[in-house]
Amino acid sequence: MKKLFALVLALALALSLAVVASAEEVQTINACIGSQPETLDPQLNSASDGSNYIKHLFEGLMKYDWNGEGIVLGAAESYEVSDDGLVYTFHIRPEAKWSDGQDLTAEDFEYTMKRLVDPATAAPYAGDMGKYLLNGLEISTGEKPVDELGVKVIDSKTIELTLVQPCAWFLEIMAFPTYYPVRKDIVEANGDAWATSPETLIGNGPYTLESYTMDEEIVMVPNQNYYDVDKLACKRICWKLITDPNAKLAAMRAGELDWCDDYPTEELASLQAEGLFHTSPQLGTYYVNINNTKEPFTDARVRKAFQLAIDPYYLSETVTQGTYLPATDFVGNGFVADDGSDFGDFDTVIDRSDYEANIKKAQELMAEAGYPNGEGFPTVEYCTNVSGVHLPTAEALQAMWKDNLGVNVEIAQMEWNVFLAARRNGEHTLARDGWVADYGDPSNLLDLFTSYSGNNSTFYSNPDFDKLMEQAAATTDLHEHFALMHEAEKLAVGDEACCIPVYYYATTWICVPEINGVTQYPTGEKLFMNATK
Amino acid sequence: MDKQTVNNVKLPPKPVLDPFKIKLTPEMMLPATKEEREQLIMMRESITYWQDAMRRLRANKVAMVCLALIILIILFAFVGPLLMPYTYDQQIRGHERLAPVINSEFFHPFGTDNLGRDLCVRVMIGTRISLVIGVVSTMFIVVIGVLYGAISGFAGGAVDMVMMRICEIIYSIPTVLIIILLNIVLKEPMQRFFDAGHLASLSSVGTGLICIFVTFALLYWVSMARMVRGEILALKNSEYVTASRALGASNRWIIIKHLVPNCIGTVVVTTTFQIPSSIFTESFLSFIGLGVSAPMASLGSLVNDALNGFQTAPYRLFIPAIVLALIILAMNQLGDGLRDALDPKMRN
Repeated sequence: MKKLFALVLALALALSLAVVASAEEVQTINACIGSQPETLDPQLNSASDGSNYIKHLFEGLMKYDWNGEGIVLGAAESYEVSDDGLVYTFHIRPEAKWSDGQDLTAEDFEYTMKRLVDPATAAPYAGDMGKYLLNGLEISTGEKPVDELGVKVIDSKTIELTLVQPCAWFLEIMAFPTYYPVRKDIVEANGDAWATSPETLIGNGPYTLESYTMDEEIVMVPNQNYYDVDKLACKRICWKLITDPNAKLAAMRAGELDWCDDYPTEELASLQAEGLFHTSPQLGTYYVNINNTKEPFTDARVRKAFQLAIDPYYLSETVTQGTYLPATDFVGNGFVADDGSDFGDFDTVIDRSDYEANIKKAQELMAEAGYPNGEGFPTVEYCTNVSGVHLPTAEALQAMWKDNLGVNVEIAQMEWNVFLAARRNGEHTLARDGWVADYGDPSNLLDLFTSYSGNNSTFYSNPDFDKLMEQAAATTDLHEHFALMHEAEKLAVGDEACCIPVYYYATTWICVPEINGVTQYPTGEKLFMNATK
Repeated sequence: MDKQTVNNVKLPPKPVLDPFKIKLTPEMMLPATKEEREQLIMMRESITYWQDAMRRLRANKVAMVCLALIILIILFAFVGPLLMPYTYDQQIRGHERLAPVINSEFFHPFGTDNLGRDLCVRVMIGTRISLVIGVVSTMFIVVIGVLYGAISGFAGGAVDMVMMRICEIIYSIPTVLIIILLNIVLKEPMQRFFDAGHLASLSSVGTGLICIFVTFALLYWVSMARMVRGEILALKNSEYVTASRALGASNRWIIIKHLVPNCIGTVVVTTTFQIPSSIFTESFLSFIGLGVSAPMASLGSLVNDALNGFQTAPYRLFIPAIVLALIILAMNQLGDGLRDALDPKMRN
């Protein structure tokens, strides 16, 4: 009897040890970077939350190093550039595999790139990202057949990309999620639903889906077929899909959330005191998107008046309590070329030095446009999603326009996915918008206003601007490259006021003190491969 | 109709007389004096239904307290903003995020929000919006519901059948869906209408609120109509209706003069319960972003705005929430009191 008792005791002990051991093995990092993402399909995604999930599930030829080293080789083990800088040849790692064990091939990349620019895919980034490849732009606008894209498969592990013109940041483009590979057989067999379930979401990234519960969570575990799977410190990531900032904070205080990029903005003071709040600079601009095709904003004078009648300094200081900086340009500081010249050294395109004088000028412009003191101006709608500082910003803008121009602006609050779709389809008149740079060149932000950009939801269209941007892209002289883009920015944002820059973004997040190893880039990547707690 | 009045008359006690020992005197045969006659006919002044109801309502302490509270809230909402030095949408620079404070520099009894707007005046305006919604939408409901129910109940037969099936169809339509759809459909034409300068006072509350009114008017009268129909069905075979009909009264006359006044008690009680329910619905819709449009405030939207920082500034959440709770509590208690007062079966 005693022996039996001892045996039972020993077994219980062993079992409990085993439980502890396995709990240590699958330490889960709980993070939240948004609510339900619009899509996890690399080519269809255009939102920053989706792009971050994609960076964990897929991997491009190049990638963002999860130790913070910048752009490094991803699925490619090496590459060569031709002397004229027009042809890039990538050699894919022989050991690179898909998460179901199949070999990752050059054909997969070829399929992906053609899928990106194919008008039938309707990828939002088709123009902005596809234009680097030969004929990419023409294909995306339907002028040329998909077959003429500058992509050539040399053998199953070698791919040759031909560029339209030399591009200094092409490797960054290759690290952008839109160029991350998808599998032809999977996509064709499952249609749009392929990226929504663990069975069909086959990726080549460090992680693979364990489960995906809509509006609840996305759980990722290491992809056992990934070549560097041993180097992953974080063994399980649970992305909570929470909308309400209070719920996020409550979850963090309850120990259910370790890292989150959103918080109730009015709790900032107490979050800072508790040491939960963190911030770092980010390359991005928060702006008011004006639909340039909607009356009365077809008139540049009206747009300029709306632009001048706001006070970003007050907004930054009061509404964001200093977390975001006031914007005087569309392209903020921090874009530095390899030779050290900084885009921020140019004069600002909007003179914000004298608010009172700007108001007077705005009123004159409105009178010129036929709306003295706002008389006869229709009530216009400002669309916004509701998280963070969006609503208080909207209300402060509304009051500024009302007080300074005498116009009525109505605020329409929308759910994130509805909002994205409405803005992309041009259903809005005014809308909150923001753009975080995808790579470290100002062209990424300014390309938004080219007439052919799929992300151009201001629908600003000016051949002179397009030409300046094309000239800037064509030049190899970095000084000239910056000067031309600054001229373009001055034309579109300064003179013609196609949008209203409000803040420069900063990355802000709350996290528990125990967590470390989350790698962030100023372009918005939040990589959890090294995260531990 | 004044059945109660008859019951109220008390006759003087009859003198007990032994018929065998009666001695009649000539004085006893004299006609009664005017005074005696009056005494004989009426010992007490007759009181009407409403006077009786008011008497019983006054005796109900809870209801009276609630009535006083409602009057106070009405004063708060309609007179209060006139006394405040700010308007509800005034963003005062330098006054952002103040806790409740009254001193020589600042006067913000309820504090201010993140844009420097005084919360006291915003709560007043929010209360006003809530009360107006409660009363106006209930008016729609009463007028449509009573007429529809009365006609349906009085006509009976096939007409009643068809009208009640229509009611059931309307009853089955989800309200929030209708509000959202109306919002989409009405938004642009309504905005153009306002921009053309019509009903400028309504434009500040926004199209969302008007859609709520329309929805209440379209959908919420159904339960009122059913209630009234039930009452009418019970009343329409009463003797006084038959008598009226015998005297040649038209249907219209009978409905308006006999049937509707007789179910007025039920209507009043249902109305007082409908007001808080409308207020609550509006608050809920404003809370989810379908109600008033910013910067206009309603109690629901104020609570929603305050959620963002309710751990740092709980007063922003609690003040409008308490006002909302008080209105609804007071209205419901008053409704209870009125039901007791107006129901003749409840009298003691």
